[in-house]
Amino acid sequence: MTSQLPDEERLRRLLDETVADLEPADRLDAIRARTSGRAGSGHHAARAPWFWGTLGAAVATAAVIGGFALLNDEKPTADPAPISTPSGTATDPQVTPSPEPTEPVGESVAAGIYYVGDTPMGPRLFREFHQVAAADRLLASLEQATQAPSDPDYRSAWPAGSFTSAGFDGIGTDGVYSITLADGSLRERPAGMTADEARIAVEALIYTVQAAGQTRAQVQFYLEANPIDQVYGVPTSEPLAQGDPLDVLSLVNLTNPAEGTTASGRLQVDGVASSYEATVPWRLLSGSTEVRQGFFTAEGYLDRLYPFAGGVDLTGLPPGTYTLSVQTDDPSDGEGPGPFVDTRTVIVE
Amino acid sequence: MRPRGATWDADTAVEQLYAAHWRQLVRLSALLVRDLGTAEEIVQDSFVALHDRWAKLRDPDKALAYLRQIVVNRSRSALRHRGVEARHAPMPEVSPGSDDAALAHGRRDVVLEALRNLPDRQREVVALRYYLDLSEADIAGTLGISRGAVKSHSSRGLAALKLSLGPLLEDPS
Repeated sequence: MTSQLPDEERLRRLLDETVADLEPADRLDAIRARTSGRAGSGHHAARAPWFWGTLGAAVATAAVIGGFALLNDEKPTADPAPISTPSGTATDPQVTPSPEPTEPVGESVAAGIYYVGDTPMGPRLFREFHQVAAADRLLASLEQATQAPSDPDYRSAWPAGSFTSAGFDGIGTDGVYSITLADGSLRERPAGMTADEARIAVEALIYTVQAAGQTRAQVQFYLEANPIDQVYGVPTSEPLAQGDPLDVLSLVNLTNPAEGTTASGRLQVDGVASSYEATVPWRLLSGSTEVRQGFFTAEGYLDRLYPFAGGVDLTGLPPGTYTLSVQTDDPSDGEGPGPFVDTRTVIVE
Repeated sequence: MRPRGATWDADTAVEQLYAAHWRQLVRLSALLVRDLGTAEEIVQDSFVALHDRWAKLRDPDKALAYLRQIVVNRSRSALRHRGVEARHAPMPEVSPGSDDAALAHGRRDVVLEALRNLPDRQREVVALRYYLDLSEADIAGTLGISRGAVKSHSSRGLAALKLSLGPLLEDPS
């Protein structure tokens, strides 16, 4: 914790005092009476894994999410190759986007594009990879972010043609991205859009342009030549850093397999998640019938999203179309907001 | 992470957690719901819920964290279900034995009222941070929110309490 302010110390004492003379009655016997002989006493009852109770509903309503997160300390393997860097000047060893594209005209690169989707914690960002023109990668990525995503569960919060230019000035995280809006009407939050969704919509642009430029520099929005004070009602007078991934991104995101992947034998799965105890439960469904289930273990959880990877054994399954579903673990057993879920259609040969 | 349920069974876990944490968890819940009887019910139910789900816990070392999470979630639900009129029910008097005790009770009402006026998340973060002394990471895990959100709820809650409890915070006596 940070240094203690005197106020904090006094609040601590005041709260202590407030409840110090509350002496709760002894309820141990009552608890024993209610738990004796119940499941969980002594040995582990062989029940179905508890987390599927809430998952069924989530899958049935297809309130499901996909995408991927650009993380602080790891580069997703599907990221585009780093852009060439002016020698000797970069302070960010990973990357420096070049405002003068070096790729031949007409070439395209894979870019991570962030879209908005619904989760138990409200709107969040989901990433899809799309091919965009290498020649103007920043603007091309933003334009892609205004197009319909591949996954119908996601949506773009921006109309086509929202941006006239995008650039980057500086080196690494010392630089600043600029995004120039095509139309002053984008200053106001559209009717029917919640403030939460507007905030996430602006984050979609920040995450997308940072992914395209491959450095997490701040972003300044412009209208014509001047910074604009708000975008969709979100204050933008100063350059904006990306929001905390745990507040902005879906907490589980499949990277592989891609939607509609054909597989046999063994299905390789990877993605990122922040899930209780680093456990990422998965199941394979045929229609609504579970045919396989298990869990992956991520490299960590809580403070950010961590990579997970593993395989799903497909041997013995009849050929056909299946759904792979991964989710965050939900230790509250439905008492919390509920799990984040991501799904992919998989065709077994 | 130790193997599932390697050393504790559910009965033992409940007994040990009860011995060590019953009083503190009831007091935590009382800070959230302002009522000792309700807090006892909530925490008792939470112990039963922990017992029921014991086999599903992959890491028994986290049992206390899990129990705390159940208590906070159920306290929040209880507040919502209780309704407006009952929110003004006073904390039951607990054996005021002296003038000092009476004074303390007056102060307690003021503190509980101030907590009641905070948004749910701020109240929970303040209680977990300043009553239980949990770290930001543990609070984030308990409430299922980011550490950044913990920081912001904490600073807003503290600022609001400074306004509503000004004299009490300035004069700890």
